[in-house]
Amino acid sequence: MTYNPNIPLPTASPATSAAPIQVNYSQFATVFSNTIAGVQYNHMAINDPNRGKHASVIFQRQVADKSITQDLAQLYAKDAPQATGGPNQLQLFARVPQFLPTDLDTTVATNAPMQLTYNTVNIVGPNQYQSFLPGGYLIWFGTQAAIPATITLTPTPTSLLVAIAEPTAVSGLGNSPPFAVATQILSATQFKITSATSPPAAVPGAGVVFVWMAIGKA
Amino acid sequence: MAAPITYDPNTPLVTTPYADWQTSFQQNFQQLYNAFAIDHIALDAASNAGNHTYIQLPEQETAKQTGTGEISVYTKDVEGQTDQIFLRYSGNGTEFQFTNYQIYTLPQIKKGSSVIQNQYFTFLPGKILVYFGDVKANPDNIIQLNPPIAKNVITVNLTPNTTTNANAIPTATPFITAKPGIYNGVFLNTVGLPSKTINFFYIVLANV
Repeated sequence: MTYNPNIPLPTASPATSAAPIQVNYSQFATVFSNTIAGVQYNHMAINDPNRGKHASVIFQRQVADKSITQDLAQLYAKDAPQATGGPNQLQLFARVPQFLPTDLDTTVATNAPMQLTYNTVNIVGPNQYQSFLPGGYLIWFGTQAAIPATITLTPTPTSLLVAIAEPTAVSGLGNSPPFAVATQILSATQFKITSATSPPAAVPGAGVVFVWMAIGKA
Repeated sequence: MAAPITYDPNTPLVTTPYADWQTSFQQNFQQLYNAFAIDHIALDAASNAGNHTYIQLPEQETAKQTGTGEISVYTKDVEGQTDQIFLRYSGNGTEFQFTNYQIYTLPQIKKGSSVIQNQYFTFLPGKILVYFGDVKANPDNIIQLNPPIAKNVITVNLTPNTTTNANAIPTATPFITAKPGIYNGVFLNTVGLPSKTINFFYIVLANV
């Protein structure tokens, strides 16, 4: 049974029109809100008190961006590169109307789609966590003892842009000067944390924990 | 020019001849079909009928009413920007701005032929901009904040990007330039620190 927008035919009688009309009513209701295994897909049912509202929203992969000519914003799904270099993954994008340049920001920037998601997060740790930022960026953060140390990031970014680190303790020496800390990006996937007291030079004890944060491009 | 098809919920009428019923039914079915196809896989698609292609959210004037067990997603105009996506939690809870501004690629900042700042930005929900990158302290000691729209600098995190680790962190002072109420950058105070060019990674969070 398929919805047919071209019925009833002018040649059809009321008796023969009833069935196709009922098919259209039935198909519209089914397509509008489809319940599978107790989960409502896309919209609440037409006869539901919350009819018309959205239940779970299913986005179908799009291969092109849709232009914006009105006062509205868009959400849609299309493929984007993933950090590990594997096949593109489907991600959620937002697009807003073009508004640049402005008086404050004279950049002539188009309203390019903004990638909102990435397909992995690490909330388990224990020493490295990962989430994502709009624009196809990944953010990692965590803790590290036993400095100096090389941090290897997972998932692997295409480029590593920033690495920040800070100690969580003072040096314990006279006047407790803070540990001097530095980071160095070694590759797209690794950065190094080094530290010493200044002055005098000393290596932080094994019990001193450093917190760190890194941002890279997926 | 043919008159546009309009969906009419008050058809057919009892007094209307059946020949006219046919036309009314067909117009309604056609209009349902056309309207649904705007943001959805078509009603008569062989597969995935009803799934969303794009969700286009026309601008709303006010926050949406949100019942218990609901989260609403909608669009409102943001002063100085354009329409952005907002969320509101259940039970008419907190509304917050989900998307912000327009992400674009920033050029390297150079002094002569030397790169003194690699700059990037993104956003967090709640009208927060995240500026990040790396900057050379000395000679200019300035982190330029682009896009220049920050109304309040919240945090500045700095770490030297170097193999030598005996470097103190300069203090950071956000500064306002010609446009009142807008922070265009962060000044790195390196007085008392070794006078040498040091590259710093930075992350700056700001309200817009």
